[in-house]
Amino acid sequence: MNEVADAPARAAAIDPSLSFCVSAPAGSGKTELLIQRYLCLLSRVERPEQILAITFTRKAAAEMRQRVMHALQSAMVGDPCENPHQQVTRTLAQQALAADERGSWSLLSNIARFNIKTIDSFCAGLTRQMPILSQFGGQASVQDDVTPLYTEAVIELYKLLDEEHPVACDVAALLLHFDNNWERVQELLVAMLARREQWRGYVGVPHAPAAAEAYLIAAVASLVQDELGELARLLAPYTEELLALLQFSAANLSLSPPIRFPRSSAQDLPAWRTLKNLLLIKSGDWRKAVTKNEGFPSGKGELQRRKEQLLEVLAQLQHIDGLQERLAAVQTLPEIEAASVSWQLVLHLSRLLPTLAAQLLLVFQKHGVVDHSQVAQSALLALGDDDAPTELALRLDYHIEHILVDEFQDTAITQYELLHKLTRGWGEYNEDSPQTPRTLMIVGDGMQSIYGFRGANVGLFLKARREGFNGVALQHLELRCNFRSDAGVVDWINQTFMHVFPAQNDVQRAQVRYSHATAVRPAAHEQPVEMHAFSGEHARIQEVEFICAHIANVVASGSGTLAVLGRSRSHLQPIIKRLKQLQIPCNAPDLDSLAQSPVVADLLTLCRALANDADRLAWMALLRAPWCGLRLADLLCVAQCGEGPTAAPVWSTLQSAQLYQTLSHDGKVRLQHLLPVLRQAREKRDRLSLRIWIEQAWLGLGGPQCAPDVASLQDAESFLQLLEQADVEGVGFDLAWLSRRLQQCYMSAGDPDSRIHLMTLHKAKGLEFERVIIPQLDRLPRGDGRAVLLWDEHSNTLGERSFLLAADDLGPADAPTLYNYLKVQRQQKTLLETTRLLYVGATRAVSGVLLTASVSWDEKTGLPTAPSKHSLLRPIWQTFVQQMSVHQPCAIAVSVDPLRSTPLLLRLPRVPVEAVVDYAVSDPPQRVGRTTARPDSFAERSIGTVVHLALEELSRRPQLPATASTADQRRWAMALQREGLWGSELDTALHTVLSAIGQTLRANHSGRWVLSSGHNDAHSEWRLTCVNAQGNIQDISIDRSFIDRDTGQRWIIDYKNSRPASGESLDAFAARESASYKVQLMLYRDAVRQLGAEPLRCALYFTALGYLHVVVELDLPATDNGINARAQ
Amino acid sequence: MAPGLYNITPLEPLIEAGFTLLTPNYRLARRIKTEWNARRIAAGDRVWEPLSVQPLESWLLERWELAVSLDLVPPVTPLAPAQALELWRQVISQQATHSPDYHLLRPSAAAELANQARDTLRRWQVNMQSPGIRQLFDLDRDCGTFLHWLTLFEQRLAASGQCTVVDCLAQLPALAGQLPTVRVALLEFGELAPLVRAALHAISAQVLEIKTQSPPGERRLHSFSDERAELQTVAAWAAGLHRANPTTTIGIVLSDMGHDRVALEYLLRREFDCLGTSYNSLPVNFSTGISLAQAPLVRDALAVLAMGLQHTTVPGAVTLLRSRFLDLPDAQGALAQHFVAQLYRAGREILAVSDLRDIAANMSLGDHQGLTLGRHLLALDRMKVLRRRALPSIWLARFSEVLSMWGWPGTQGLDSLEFQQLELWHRTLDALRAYDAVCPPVDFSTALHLLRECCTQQISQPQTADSPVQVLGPLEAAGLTFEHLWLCGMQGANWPAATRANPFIPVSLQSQLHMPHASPEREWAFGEALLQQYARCSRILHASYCRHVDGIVDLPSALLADFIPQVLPEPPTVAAQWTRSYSKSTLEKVADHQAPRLHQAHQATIKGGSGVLEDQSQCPFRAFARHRLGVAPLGSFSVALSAADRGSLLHAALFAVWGEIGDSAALLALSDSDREQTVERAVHAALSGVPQRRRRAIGTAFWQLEAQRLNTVLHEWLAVECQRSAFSVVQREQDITLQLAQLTLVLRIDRIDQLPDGSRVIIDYKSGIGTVQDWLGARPAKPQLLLYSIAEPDTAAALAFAQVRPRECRYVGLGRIAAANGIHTDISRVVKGTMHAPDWAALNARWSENLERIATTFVAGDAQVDPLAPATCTRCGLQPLCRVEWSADVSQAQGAAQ
Ligand code: SF4
Repeated sequence: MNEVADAPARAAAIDPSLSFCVSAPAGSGKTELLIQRYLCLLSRVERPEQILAITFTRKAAAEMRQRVMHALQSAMVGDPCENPHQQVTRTLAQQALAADERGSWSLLSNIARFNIKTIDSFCAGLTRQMPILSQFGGQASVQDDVTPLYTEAVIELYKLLDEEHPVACDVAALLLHFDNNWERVQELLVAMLARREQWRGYVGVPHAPAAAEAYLIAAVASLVQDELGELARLLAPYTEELLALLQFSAANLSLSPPIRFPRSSAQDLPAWRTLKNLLLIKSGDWRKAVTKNEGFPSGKGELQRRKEQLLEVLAQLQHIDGLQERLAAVQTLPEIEAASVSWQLVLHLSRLLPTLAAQLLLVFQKHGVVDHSQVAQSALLALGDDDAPTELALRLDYHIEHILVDEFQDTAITQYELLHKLTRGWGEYNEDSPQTPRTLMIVGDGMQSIYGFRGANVGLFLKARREGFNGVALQHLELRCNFRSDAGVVDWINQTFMHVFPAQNDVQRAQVRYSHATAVRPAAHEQPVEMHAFSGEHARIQEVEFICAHIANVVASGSGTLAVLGRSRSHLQPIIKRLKQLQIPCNAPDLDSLAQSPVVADLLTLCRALANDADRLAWMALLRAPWCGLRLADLLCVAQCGEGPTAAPVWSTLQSAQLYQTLSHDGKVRLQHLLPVLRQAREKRDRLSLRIWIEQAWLGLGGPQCAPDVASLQDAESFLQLLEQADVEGVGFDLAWLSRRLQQCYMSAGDPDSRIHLMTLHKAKGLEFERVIIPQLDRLPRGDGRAVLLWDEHSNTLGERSFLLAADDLGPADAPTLYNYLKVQRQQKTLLETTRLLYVGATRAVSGVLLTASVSWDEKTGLPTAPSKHSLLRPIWQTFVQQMSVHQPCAIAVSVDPLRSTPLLLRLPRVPVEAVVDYAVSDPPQRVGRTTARPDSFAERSIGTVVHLALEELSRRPQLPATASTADQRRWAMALQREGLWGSELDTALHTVLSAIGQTLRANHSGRWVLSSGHNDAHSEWRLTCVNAQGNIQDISIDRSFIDRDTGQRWIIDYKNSRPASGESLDAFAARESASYKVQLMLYRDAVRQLGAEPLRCALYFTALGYLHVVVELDLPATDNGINARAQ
Repeated sequence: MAPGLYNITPLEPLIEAGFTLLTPNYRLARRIKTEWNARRIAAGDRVWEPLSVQPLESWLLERWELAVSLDLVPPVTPLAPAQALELWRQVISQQATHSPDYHLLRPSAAAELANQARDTLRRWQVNMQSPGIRQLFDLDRDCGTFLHWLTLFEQRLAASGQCTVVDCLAQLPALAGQLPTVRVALLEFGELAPLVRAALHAISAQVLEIKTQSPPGERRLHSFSDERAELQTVAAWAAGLHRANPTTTIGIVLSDMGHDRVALEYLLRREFDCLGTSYNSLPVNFSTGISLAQAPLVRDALAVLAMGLQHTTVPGAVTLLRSRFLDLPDAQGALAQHFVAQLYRAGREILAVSDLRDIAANMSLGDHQGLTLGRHLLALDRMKVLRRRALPSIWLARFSEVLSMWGWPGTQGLDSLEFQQLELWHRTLDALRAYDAVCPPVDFSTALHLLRECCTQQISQPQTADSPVQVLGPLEAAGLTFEHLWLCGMQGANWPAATRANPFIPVSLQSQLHMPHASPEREWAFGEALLQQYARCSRILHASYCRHVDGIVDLPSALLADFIPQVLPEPPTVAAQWTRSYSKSTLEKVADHQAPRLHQAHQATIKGGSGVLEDQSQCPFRAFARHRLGVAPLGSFSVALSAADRGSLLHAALFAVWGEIGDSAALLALSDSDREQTVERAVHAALSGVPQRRRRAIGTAFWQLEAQRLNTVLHEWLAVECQRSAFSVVQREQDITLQLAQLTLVLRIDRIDQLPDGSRVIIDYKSGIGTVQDWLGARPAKPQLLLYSIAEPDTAAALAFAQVRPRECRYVGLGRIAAANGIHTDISRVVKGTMHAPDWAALNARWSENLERIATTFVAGDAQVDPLAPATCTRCGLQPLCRVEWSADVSQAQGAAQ
């Protein structure tokens, strides 16, 4: 193993008293470094939570937590160390353990105490802790699938059009500009919302329209000034010479010659363009020859001299790095023409975006969910602005003392701002406490910044490195050692990418220069990097064949992992398909949408049909699917059955006898099988859980037998699990939801244990494989067309950031509009990112890289033609051409295009073998006698309850009062309220209660006697458990029971608050009531019989009447046998 | 007999001694009572006084009620939690309207937190009047805001003579010695809040704490690759144990009940073989169910009530139609199919209920006039009382009336679960009444919202017999005893839980007073105690975790350190039954692309004019499916007008323009302002052809903009027309009938121009891109104009697409006369490589042959799945039926398998 050349930098990075920005290229072992520093910091803090480590993904956070834990555990048990590097970690871990001991942190048992998080979860934590400051109010659930909410916000914005809202005219203008195509504008506004962290700081919710305009004008002016200023700086040595040449040329073209060299202000733009046109040709390349068209006619003497002078200057200028691009950019440097379509569009947008953002907030509010971006924004809000910062320590109960951030190159502006806020006051603090400073370490690799399309901005990494945060300067450390790849691979990468990356870092242009890596592992192979070129009509097929053969070789021989890394999913699909044919197992997760699986498509058809009888397509498709496989002729019979103005719904047709007269025998057999399954499925709708309902129908139809291969059963399982998820989320049987989710799920991944991996380059970030193949380098990603809206951030020379935004004005491409300027900028950034993407791919490899591409040859020159500048191949084209192995085109029998051949109908051969599934039949539906109204009114029930309660209370009093006291009345009123009676209902009810109690207290011989405390063994609300006549356990409650002292009889009394119907005599009423309560009283009587031998008498006491009705037929004489002991 | 879910033998002396038994939850109280009853029955008793056992909180509340009835404390009405929350919501929203700088995204979440904070503060007996405490709250904005809310909340309570449950408990400590005292035993309690402890000691003569003590049994730890494998193994494990001994008690604890219940229930059903016939005999109890609002019966009731709102959605209307609980007898008929298709065709997902009502009520088909749905909606609309504000209790009656009008809950009969849900629905309605205490009269939508909330909060759980297998949440299982207990989801990340301090109480105060969830130490102690309790209460304790959660590596909970790891095999991911069934499978392949010949009798029913031939040409199967099976995909929704509808508008406007101008001379003679006005009139004419309902649905702004757009593009187009040499428009949107291979096609030609020499130019307006490539080849993609040249042979001097598109207005065509820029006459060059036709006449002849042949194949029933190009399928939508995407793959894979 080679020496670790950057050991000093690594050692320095652990120093807990300093802050760092570490550039850590691929394979440099940065995670270990982060862990070492983390461990080191642990011994300097009071609580482990005070060290905040931020990672890019949840996976990375989990990995870091576990590696820290592992380091601590190994130190605990004293595992031996293998190398000095581990020894460093070990020593630091031991110190950390000591701190753990001192602070009784129990780190080893409480992994949650490691404050190692993604930015998302950190922000979510802040919003949870500060519900008011973050304006969340409480934890909102964060959703990944928020596009429907964005769409809703746009629709709400559209609604303002009809409401004379101030932004209505802006929305209208925007719509009109895009041909009143609401769908299209909706799409682009949705895209804006998804990226709103980039613009909301400038044109977000609280911004006034006029301010927005002024702001944008200033931003453009500053941009132009900066660009021209830089240009002027670069050209400074040539100013005089160029001015002379410009004057010469103007004179020859009969134009008024300039009197001075152009200055860096927008007014001089035309002069700058003149200069640009002199130096560059239209395509933006350096001018190689000059003619009289440029004002340099051929001739002798002065003419000749001037011409030569110009060519001389041109030759020198070509060596100035970055000059050419800047000169070219002059063409599109925006000029603000207030009336121009393009500027008007910008203004409309800047006025409507705040309102759009506000609509989104309302939508979030309505649904109680938010997106990640909102969480981040709210977290920032909660931290307060610089004038009124939030005292975070108060909320957390601790100060954040140290921060570590990984993958900083993929930082978006939100994270940057967050760090800024978290480190407020650190500079001063550190000055005051130099012994225990707060520190920051950011780690990243600009060369691996590949998330520009998601808003990551590598410029922020460069900026942080340059400026630090809040007075905390970051020392720049550069790691150079590559522990991953063999020297051969590293050398190739060095040589190839050295010249491909820009020569200088540039914050504004997101340019990162290459930094040279040093291999730690020795070279292992002769030719670690291979390049293969294919050409001709069948180049693609040949390429796929070659790659698959290579993979087969790797599989057959030896060990080690191999990854095929594609720029997009579609680049990998042909390879997966071929590997499948060759039966080479591979691990290719998340490449094909689940919706593409035939089994899933059929399940979806089944769902659609069951969801909607009117979905004729789904119903016909159901009949055509493999489980039924009706022939066309029979389908036609179904379609044409029954004569009517329109066709009958398929389901009703299937049940009509008429149909079966026309069907073929085969059709009949098939439908006879299908029908009972569907009938049962319809019968069971909403009676089974969603999944079971569909699954049973699917099994009944013979679903699994229709699967094309056994792996697709897994797809069916995934689909059905999605239905479970629908139940969990409570969305029910919602086809739109289902289809949307299907798009986000992927088909079964092949063999997860295979050594062969296929994935996109973006997914491969952070991973490592023995060998790497990057195919189809020449292919372009699917273009997203002409971007309708463009925006970008601009940092001026003072480091102030501003925001620029433009909409496609549909004008010419070289017009000096903001749109064109931004378009060029974006293109350039994308090109830079393409290079970095290839770098990321190549650096995944330990020992071998295989690059392949289709190449065409120029018929005239015989040279290979350069690929598109948007391809991955372009940046390394020079190297590729020099080193490639060329495969001769060969005539391959082109496999027949599947779309050209006539697909056959696939179907189960006959009635499926398995019996038709049987649904539950054991629980026949009951008829419900009553519908929505309940038998007695709510008020009556409540009155009954409270009268019972009042009587119980009274019966417990030693002395029965003559009337209810006011305290009693208040209490009973309250009891009625508790039952749910309020307002006038309460008054009426209370009146009824009081009158019943009044009746009772007045009724000496019934009411007062019943409640009297003069009885023996009296109970009110007597609760008993008994075994009823059916042998079941039943709890009963007897309103009143006692032994009459005089007669020795035990009374069992049930209170009733019913009253006679109008015109009903008291006797008739009493007879009716006792008939209906006889069974109940009997149950009471028989239960009480078990408890005592006394003679038993049952009665109903009518509270409203003050009338005691003895149910004589239930009288039971005393007994002296078979009596249980008294219940305890 | 196997031991029950709780061993009450140790409690017997206490019961004898007359202790009241208090439990942490209802579940344990019920369980102990059941055990007690079983003992009494076993002892031969028929009647006995119920065992005095109940949850601590409810017992304390009963004591408070007793104090009220003894006039020891003044009577007040404790608000139920739902109403207390509502009061918080009102306080918060009232505050929000006063201070416009904060609008909370989730005010109700804030209400919950505030409610919880107040509850905790009372239980921990924090004196909120103390200036020191108030200062602490005022230090930060969150707690300060809460303090402010709290003051308002207390004021509201005081003003209306109400209190919350915790306020009742807070009165108890002062009652020491005044209530009849009892002796109590606390069963299986962990920590008690200071208030509860104080209350308990004040009003009881003696307080004993009892915990089940049994020797800790075996503890095993299992790990799985993912959650599914974990749940699957647990289900199989439970089923295996149960089969071996049906009375053995088995507990399954789900860490995340809400998330895993559905999956586990499915898997248990699969393992216990209770998916089909024996669906109702799963011997498992679940401690939770679904939200009542999700129960189909209630879901549909709420959906009906939602028809009283302004807007609904098309899928919402379709859901109503398939409800089993409503009186909609014609929901499966042809008219309903027609109705749904029309809703989809209209292309708007959200529609006004009034529009839905009109369509449903007025739709007709044969003698079937109007859907029942429409009649119900009309009746609903006539209930004017729904527009008046009222107290929630009054709304209940109104809601019930609406529902019975719709025939809810239906005539098909309910099964027992639905019957239980109906009962619960009635109880929930009653609960809504309690909002009278805190709400002013509310309008329809607020009342409905409250009802929906109540139903969402209400859990509907099937009442089933006690089963030996129990699925419980972590807290619910505490205290119950099991032979076998399995703890799922014991992930390192969740056990112990991360701290969740209440944000409305200063953190320092929380940790100082040891409030719940405030510190990692407390969470650890809590988790540890819980786990010890599980261990005490089970003979064999299993715990499991997943090595990966969402693809991210995770560790087991550190609480499981003394569990013994065991390796269980990973279960297969697909049900064995499926794999078995698949292995028996042999699919047959049938060549079936020939439908019966189009019968003479049916030819008249073929509609669609040139569309039939266009479809047949682009893909024969498509033509068969669309025109003979009558199948069309349900349209997709758009926010405004679909592209096709906008195209029609453009056609209408152009129709009007030329109706007025007539020929090129008139066009050129028009002054600018005349032209201006002509265009304006044409646009107006086009727009006024749109039905009122459509216009209303999209909103006036759209139509104004559309008018402007049409105006612009018409001017652009007229500029193109001005370039042409003389012509006059002789026909507009005229139908011509054409007989082709026994097919009678009715063609509508957008426009025919006549040139001075009498020759004609046939024009088709296109708002998309037109290209002559669409006419070439054996199967022309757009044969409409070609058909004309067959219908009227020799009259057409040129065919042209008039491409009327903003910024891209032009003619694109072929002919023998270059009647406009863009109409090419060099036929042989244009068609080179695709067709053999040296001149215009020859080309016409080819076209005639091609179209004749295409028509013949249609009539003959050719229904090959044979799209002209891959792009043909993109906008077709018939993929589920033609199966173009799968057939090829399927045949390959099957071939390989055999
Ligand atoms: S999807 Fe394609 S193959 Fe299927 S019917 Fe439509 S056009 Fe034909």
